[in-house]
Amino acid sequence: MAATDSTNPLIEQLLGVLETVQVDDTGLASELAAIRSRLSAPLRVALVGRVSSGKSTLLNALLGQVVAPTDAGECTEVATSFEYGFPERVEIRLDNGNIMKIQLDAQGRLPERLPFPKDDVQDVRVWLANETLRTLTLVDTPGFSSGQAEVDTKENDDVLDRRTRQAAANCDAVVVVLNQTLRADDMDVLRTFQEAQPGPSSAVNAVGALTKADKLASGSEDPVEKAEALAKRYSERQARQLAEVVPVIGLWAETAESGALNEQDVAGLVRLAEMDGEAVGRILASVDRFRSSECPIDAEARGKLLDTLDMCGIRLSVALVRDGARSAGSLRRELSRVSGIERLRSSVVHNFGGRTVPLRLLRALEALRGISYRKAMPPMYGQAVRDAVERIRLDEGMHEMREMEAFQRWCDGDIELTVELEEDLRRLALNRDPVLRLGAEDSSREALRRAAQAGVSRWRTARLHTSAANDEVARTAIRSYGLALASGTRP
Amino acid sequence: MKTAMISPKNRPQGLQAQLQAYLNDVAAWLLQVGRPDLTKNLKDAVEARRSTTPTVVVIGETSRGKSSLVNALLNRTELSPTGLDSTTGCNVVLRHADHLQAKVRLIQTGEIVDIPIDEIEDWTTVEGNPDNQRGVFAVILGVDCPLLEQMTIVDTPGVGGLDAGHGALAAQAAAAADAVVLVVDPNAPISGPELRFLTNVAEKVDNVAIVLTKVEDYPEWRTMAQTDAQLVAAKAPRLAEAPVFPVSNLLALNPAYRAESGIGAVEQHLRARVAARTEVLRYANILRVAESCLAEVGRVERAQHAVLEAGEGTLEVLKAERARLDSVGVDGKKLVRDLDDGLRRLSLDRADGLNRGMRDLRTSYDEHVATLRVDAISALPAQLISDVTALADRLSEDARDRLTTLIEELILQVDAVAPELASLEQLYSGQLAESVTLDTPRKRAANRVERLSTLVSFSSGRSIGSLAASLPLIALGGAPFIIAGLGLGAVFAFHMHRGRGDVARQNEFKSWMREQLAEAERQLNNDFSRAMIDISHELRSALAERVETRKAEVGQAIRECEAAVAVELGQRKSQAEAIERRLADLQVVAHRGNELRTSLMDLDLSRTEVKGRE
Repeated sequence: MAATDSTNPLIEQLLGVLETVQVDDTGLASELAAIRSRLSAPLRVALVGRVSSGKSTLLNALLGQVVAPTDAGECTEVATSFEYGFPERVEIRLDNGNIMKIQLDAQGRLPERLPFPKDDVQDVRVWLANETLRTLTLVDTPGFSSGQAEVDTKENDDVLDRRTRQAAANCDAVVVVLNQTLRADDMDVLRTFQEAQPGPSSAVNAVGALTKADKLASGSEDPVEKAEALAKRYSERQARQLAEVVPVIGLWAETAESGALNEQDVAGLVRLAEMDGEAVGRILASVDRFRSSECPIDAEARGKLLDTLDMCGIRLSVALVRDGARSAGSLRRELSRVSGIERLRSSVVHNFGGRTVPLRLLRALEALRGISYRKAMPPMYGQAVRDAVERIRLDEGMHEMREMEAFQRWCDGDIELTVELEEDLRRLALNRDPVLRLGAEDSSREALRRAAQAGVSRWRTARLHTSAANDEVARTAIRSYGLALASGTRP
Repeated sequence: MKTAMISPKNRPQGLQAQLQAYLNDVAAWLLQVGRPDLTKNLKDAVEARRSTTPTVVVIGETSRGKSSLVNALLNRTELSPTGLDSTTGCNVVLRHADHLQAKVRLIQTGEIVDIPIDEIEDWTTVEGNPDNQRGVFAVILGVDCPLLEQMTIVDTPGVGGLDAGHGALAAQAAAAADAVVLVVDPNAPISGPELRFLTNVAEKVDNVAIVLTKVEDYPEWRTMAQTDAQLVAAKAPRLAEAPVFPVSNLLALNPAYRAESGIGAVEQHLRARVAARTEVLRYANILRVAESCLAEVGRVERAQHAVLEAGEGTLEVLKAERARLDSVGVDGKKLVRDLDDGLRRLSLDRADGLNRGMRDLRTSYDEHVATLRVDAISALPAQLISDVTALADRLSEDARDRLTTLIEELILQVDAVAPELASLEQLYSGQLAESVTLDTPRKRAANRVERLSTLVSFSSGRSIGSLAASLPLIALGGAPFIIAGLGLGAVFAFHMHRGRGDVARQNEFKSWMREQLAEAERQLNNDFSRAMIDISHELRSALAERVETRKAEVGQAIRECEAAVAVELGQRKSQAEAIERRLADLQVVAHRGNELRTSLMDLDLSRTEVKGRE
């Protein structure tokens, strides 16, 4: 059940120290236990967003299988975590402490409605034998800003309800699901999440997914490309809070990955594509027209196409079929490509998953430092914990951590840098690929070396205000480039 | 006050006279019960609706299709600029004119200025006028379009986006509207913020319609329309009858598809329910405002009634709370003791940590230097400096963490509130000036302490940054001072070496290091003590302020209760009875308003029926 990287020496070290700590206070003991188990678990990534923003569809797309129910309107009722495990099973944890086990249905899906009123349910845990979950635990949450929720009272300033807030605070990273636009409550939620994190929390562990991007550029042949401009604008405006904003069409990815489209469906699309261009244009002009016009596809099949592709998807598929994708397999491949899911997956799985160790460590170190001062902590152990924390911080092996902390300083506004240096910091903190980290032209050894050299001299000659923060950041950056040079910058 | 029976056969002019009389009576009555502010509200509402052409204001969240809808209604592509994400930056007022023309109304001066037609986008869009630097309240377009002969249409900036100013502009436009059209799309069910905005706007406007756009692309639009209607009925019951119109703006602008786009129904609705009913709409809205004013008076009277009924029991609880606050209070009592204890412990621990840290550094450098040769040793001072600053930073962060925890605990002491008082708080919370935008309560102005406690109420972690901004914690960072002492001068001095050999050099380093570290430790401790004094001051005042505020609130409550209780029972009874009489009067006035409203509706109905048959 434990994931990768439990063999990381620093984590081993920390676990070793924590094992020796003995406390009487049960609250404190369970907090420590929680920190320990988190250290060896995969990274927890929360999906947050407004009602119907497409979180569950996106989750299914990332997993490559349809598990979470998706429906027009409010669907996800409670925070549901998806982790790696076998046999596949579902546990519903109730407020009163009871745990009910249920099975996934014949198609491997969760039931549409929970067998309990949602107010009695604490959360739901799902175990799947899914490769994506080896490095990540995904947490789907109920949408916020619901029209059904009770009106804000004086205490309840927050956009998220208490349970969702807790579930998100418990996560290490977040994907903010933006339904075609970025709104004020989206940023409020992100801010709440980041402020509740013990460790650094900024663009290092947050990414935006601009979903339903097809609706932004209705009828276009490459909708994701059109949505790019908007996504880029958001990325720039929210550079401190989000690593990037990725446009994506969850539905197409979900459909492509789950194999919901079969040869029969595609045959229907082919028949459409073979019709006269104007006639097809008229049929596809609107949902109602598509449903009611004379059309070489029967009513039931039309319904299925609308469910799996949506209107924009049908238009696009007809164009793709015309361009040569005449089989289910090839259409699925094209849909997947156009959906933008790969880029999101790379962002989440590689950028988050790949930085699991430093993110977990940072979180644990911060939490432990705070805890070590509590009254309930015996001073001897408190000191031991603080010592371990300091030792690890000074360790050479955790340079990634220092890069993130340096970046966090910029996000918090603690340091002042030129635009060029800000770029450097961002590149280093948010990427694992050497070409991206160093800003090199290509992946050749020469180019990487040149980029690393340039980085070193940029920071060495930079005129920074004297301050501990700036010095620390400069040292970190120089060391990053130095390490790249020393390792021979293998491409 | 007798209520007059109105029959639908009464001539409209007779009804108008009665409405006017009613409004005058209400205004006078409001003055009589001591609410001149509400009288002004009423008069303002009457004034605002003097102009003749009815105004329809289109509101909604960003990117819902408001501007597209306006274009579709007028059948002109790109009249009101459209685009992805927050395009409209100001109100766009569309009036009838013989040919296309454009003017701008500025926020500051209210003056109206002509602008060339090709510059429209520079004034109306966020891109052309970022952050509304030009200070535009509205752009007024004159368009040659038949629909506009019967009504003025106003397009507004979207609410709920990242620019809070947009919401304010939209709210202002909606406040003076005769009818409002809320635009939603089938992307998601109507959201919490949308419902709140709608409810606020509907306080002043009676005629509301909902338009569901983009139905050409969403297979589930019918489900959404139903869900939206249900949500509106549940959360804004007054609007339960508001019609919902599905529309495709895209199809409406295409002549081949306009007939099936659904835009016709919207146009029809606006003509029948707005243009033809100007007077009725006007009065309906003003009656709505009068109703709100009366409701407000009722609220206050009932609250005071509750105080009179409150009695000795509540007074006891209030007094106990005041006593508790006194004991918690800052004049040499428990709070101060706890504050001082906490700060002292913090300082001691830090000094301890600093001392140990310095010792550890010394030890490790001592060991390390023993293994080095001369050239390697010259790199050490720089390294030492950064290690020392790193140590100082770590300690500062620890200190900040503990400070945060301490502040949390102290504030909790002040704020613990007995449940019995919770309901009384309602009486004295006063009128929350609810802004009509989507600002959450969190963004209300707060005094310094409230800000402190809000910052602190998030658990540790990120609040440090914000906390640091509000207290003089810069000294805690210590860094500039260290570098000053341990800086280039000291390092330079080190490089003037005397001995030649490795061992000599090593010893030179060791004694240099001892000197520097001792000096650094002394300086850091001094800086820290000074910072602690400042912080102690700040916190004391902040906490004192908080305690005073709460005491003032409770004091106010006590005074009112005492005044009530002190008054001899018989008198209290008669005061309560006076309130009850006023409330009864209120009922009569309100009832009269309701009857007038019914007559208005009857008249309206008979008219539209006639119109419908034409």
